[in-house]
Amino acid sequence: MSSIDPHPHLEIRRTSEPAHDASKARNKSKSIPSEVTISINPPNKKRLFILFSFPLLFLLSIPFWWYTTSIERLSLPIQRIDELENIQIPNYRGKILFTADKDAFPTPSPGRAVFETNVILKALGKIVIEGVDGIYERHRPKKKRNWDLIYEGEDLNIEKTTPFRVHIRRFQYANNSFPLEPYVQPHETGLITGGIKPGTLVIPVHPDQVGDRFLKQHYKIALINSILSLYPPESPSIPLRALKYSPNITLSFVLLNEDASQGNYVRSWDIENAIQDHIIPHLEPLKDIFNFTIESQILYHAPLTFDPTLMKPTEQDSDEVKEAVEEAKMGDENAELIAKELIQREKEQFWQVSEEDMKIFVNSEKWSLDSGSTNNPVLRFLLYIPKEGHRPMRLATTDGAQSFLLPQFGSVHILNPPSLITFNSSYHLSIKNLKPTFHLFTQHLYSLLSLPKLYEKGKIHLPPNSSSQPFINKPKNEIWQIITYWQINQILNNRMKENIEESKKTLIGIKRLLIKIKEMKFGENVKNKIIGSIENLEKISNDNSPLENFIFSRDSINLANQAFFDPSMMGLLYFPDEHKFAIYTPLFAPIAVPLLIGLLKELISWKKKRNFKNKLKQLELEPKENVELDKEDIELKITDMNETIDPVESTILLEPEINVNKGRTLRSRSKG
Amino acid sequence: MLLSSLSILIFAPIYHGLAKRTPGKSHDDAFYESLTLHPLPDGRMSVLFEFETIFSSSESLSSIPQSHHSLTPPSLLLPLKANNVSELTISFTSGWDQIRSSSSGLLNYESSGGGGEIRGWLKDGNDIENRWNAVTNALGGLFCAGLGSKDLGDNVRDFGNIYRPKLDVTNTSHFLLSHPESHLCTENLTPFLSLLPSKGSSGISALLSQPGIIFSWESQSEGIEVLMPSGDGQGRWKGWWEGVIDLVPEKGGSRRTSISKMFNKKIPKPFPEVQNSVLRLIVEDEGLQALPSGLAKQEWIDGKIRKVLEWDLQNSTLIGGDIEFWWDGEDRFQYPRTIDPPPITVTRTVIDRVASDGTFQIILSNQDNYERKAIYSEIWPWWVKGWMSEVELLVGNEQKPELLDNLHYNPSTPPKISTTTLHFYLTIPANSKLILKIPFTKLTLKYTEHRPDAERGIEISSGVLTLLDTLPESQLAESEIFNSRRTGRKRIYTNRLLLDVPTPDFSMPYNVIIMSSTVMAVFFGLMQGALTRKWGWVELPSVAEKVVKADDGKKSD
Repeated sequence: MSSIDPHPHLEIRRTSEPAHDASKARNKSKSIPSEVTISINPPNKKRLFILFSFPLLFLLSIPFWWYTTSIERLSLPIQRIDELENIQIPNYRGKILFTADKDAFPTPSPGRAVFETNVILKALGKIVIEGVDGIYERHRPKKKRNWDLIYEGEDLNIEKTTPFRVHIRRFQYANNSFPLEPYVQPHETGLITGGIKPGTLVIPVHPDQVGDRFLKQHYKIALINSILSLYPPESPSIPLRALKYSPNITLSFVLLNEDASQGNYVRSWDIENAIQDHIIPHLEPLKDIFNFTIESQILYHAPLTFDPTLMKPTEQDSDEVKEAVEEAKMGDENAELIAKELIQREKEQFWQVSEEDMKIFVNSEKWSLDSGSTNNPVLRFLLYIPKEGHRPMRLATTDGAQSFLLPQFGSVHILNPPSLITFNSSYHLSIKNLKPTFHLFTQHLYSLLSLPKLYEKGKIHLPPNSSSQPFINKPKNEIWQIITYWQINQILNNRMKENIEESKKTLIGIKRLLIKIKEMKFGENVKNKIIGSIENLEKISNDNSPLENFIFSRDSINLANQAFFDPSMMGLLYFPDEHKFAIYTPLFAPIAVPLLIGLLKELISWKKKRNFKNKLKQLELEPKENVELDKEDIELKITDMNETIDPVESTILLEPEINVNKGRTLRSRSKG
Repeated sequence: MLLSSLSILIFAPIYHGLAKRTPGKSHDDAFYESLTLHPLPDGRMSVLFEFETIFSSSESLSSIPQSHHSLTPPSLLLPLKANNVSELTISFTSGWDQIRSSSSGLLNYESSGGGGEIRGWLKDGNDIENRWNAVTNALGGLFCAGLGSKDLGDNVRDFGNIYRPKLDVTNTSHFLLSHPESHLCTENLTPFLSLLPSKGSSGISALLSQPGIIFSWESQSEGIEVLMPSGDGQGRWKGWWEGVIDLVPEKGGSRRTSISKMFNKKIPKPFPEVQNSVLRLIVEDEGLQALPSGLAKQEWIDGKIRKVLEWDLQNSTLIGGDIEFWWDGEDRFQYPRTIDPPPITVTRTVIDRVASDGTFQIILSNQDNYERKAIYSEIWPWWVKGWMSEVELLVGNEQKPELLDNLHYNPSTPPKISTTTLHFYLTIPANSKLILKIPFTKLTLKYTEHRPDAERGIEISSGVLTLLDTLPESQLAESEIFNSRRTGRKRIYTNRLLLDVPTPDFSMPYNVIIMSSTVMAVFFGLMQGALTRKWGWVELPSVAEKVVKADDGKKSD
């Protein structure tokens, strides 16, 4: 309001001058103007107090504003997260029970001391341990043996519970030539069993070999090799093609007909039995680590996005065929069949899927390969039946394989049914037909889940055939045997290591994120999850069993992920600063103007008074009448100032005289 | 390599007869499809695709949960199984005119009124509401349309009487969620086709998988109905797609048409696993001819005996061919002067439209010579508040409150968001128009409850008239050729209704901020000025002394 008045001082001067004249003319009583002025205005101090109370109020309300607009950010246990760096991946020391058949060792010649089997075993065990330690010692980087051999009668408790067992078995069906061929005892069915617990590492020795001079050396080599293979000191990291650990996994088996309407399609498959026979035995032992669900479906239309190229038959026999023919000549019955088949193949034209096409083989857009009813990762196993016009379809692979693996996605197998003369007939794939396919699928499942294989060339062999055991009827290949505890131990270690790493990474990620983004909300809920995750990691120790440690690591990564993806972390309060200014300025700018100007004016007048006071000091002897004076200018905060100004004031106080009621006008001069 | 090549040798083909296929032993599932054409009196034609799959439970006993599917889509059935659903119906409908079509609804009786709707029976048990939410969200993803509820209160629980269970399963609860604002759009076709075993590649689904043609049709309806198998029983899931084609060319002319003209495709190869694939033509007037001619039948459809021509699309002589339809001696289609109205029609309008109030006027007209018993049901969002004491029932201008036998009224319960449902048990007198008037007030929506296109208004779900006295269609009474009660159509829908709602100025928050800030600032300035202003004497110049007398004691400034 005061700002409207452009020249308050000027006006005052104009009005005050005539007042001076008038004062001389009439000089009269009543309350003098200065008194009136004083009476109607609050004391100067009070006014100043009011003036300053506004900015003060703003200052006082800042904490309140801060509190109501700030984001909940609890303290993050940074210290504990940093300390996780030092968490050791626990090394569980397995106890391997070492036993042997009594007659697996040569009977000492008469006259020499007869030792108990246990004593012989202990001696043998010592050599084996020395051998293994020697190998690890030479290894770069150095490794440490993480198992101990125990013997019967040492500790009954461990003896009964330990899943790791090694047994030297005198076995009439074993290979009777050296080297010895250790194998892992499979589950036995039937009446006559070997009495050996399934999963035991068996070093078979043929009765003829027992008397051999170097038997002990052979035992040592076989034991060292097989134990090294089954119980590696540290497991390799999870390859990229395998799924990251997730407790729930869905397996989806899909039979795809390229185009069933062209006839000669597969209308059904014995999927339930195939899964029961080939897949379930491998999944069941993993139940502590993974929860599987299985779904299957048949697609009758699964068009490709590309056209396979038609390849004309080659004139010459390839090396492959020659090789097979060679082998067939040697009398291998199997090879003969293969040779025939290969020759047949060479002579016909076929449709080739090039390596480039394999990358786009799966037409996810058109093929619905899984139900998507859960958020679990899905592994898809596709059995693809090309349409009549695309048969036979072959993959352009160097080794002629008709299947390929898609990392983290699944596997594809192409199956070319033979042509039928009748149009519009269909096939049923029996469990027998599905066997080769499901063997491939099982192998791919091992790869995709990063499950260690049991057999290793030259170290772990297939069990020898024995007529007393019915499992010989099964064709033996590398994956027919179900997962043993030796493998589970490796998986547990592998996955625990992976989980610990992941969990640490996630926690550190959260820490970095929280430090970097100051506006991120960090509430009680998320904090509890993070602390739970850290606690689980801290619980991991060498004292627990591998399964316990694995469960801690699993829970830890689970909580860490939950915290990381918690929706509350992504608050909606991310307003840019510009936005806040846009909201605040309409209020604060207009309020700030009178406030600041008021303060500014006060400052100016205070300066003026000080100047005036200085001047006064100069003019103390001869005060001039025409010195423009403002009453308010004279009123200074300091009381003693008033006294010094007194003379000047008196000159002014003479001004208003006559007719208070008529000649005067009450004018306001505001300070802002 | 060895394994796969060996596999060819041990391959065992199973011979299958050419003409008739019987379901194999490996799965008992069966797939049926049909395409029904129904010429309408106004020169248009209804086209209805129906796909039905009978299936048995896919579960198998094992330590690891398994489910195996051959003709059924796991993406549809697994979420239903996981959430213990007994029956489920989803339908999307856009636009239908009862009067022009001479039929009270679409060819498919299960199609709902306008917009989207999902309803079903869930087996009782824990967290039934959560399971229902899980189902709606899962299937919403499947249909590229949000089917989930925006709020728990949007679920309607008291429509179990209207949509009775088809399966004989006890301890189930009914849920209904209406989305009147949903539209049927191109995104709905692809997921629909992917549920079918023929995937839109063979059989009559190949005719459907042409979005360019299908979406140029006038009114459309899509839907699925799933009855889950219980125990050893069989389940059934059915999908349908219906549309209306205008047969009369733009410049006028005859209605002559053919399959290839309608679909731009010849009769496609049949889906090999189909049990039955038929084309049906409902012949309303004798002039309609077809070549090659189909098998003629008499069938009771929607209250009438009608002639139906049927073609077996698995017949090899038809595959790759065409079927032509024409009306004898028709050079130019004459639009009929009158179209027989369907026996019962329901229309709903809002009269005295003002911004805040309105009145629903529901006209139920009965053309028959006998009275009908029916329930008229409405679902209102919470912001429609009916004045129940002022509901009127009129025949002509006469008040007939005695025609209302019963009324179930479930008001919404603020402050929770919930729906209001109404069930009027009515008697509709013979040959008359019953008018139901329900006045209502529109409550003010919260700022955040408005849709992005707030000025457009908000749709209200279709009203449903459930006929209580229908008779089954299959019983052919010898003497009868017409009986509007004898129909499978138990429910007649009104169109959905667009209600305009009072909308605020949506730039309001900023305006409010700026306005109130300005007021605050002015007020603050005044106050501060007043509190800190200093008053003092100012002398007027002596020249003004004469004037002083006049404006004595006046204050200036």
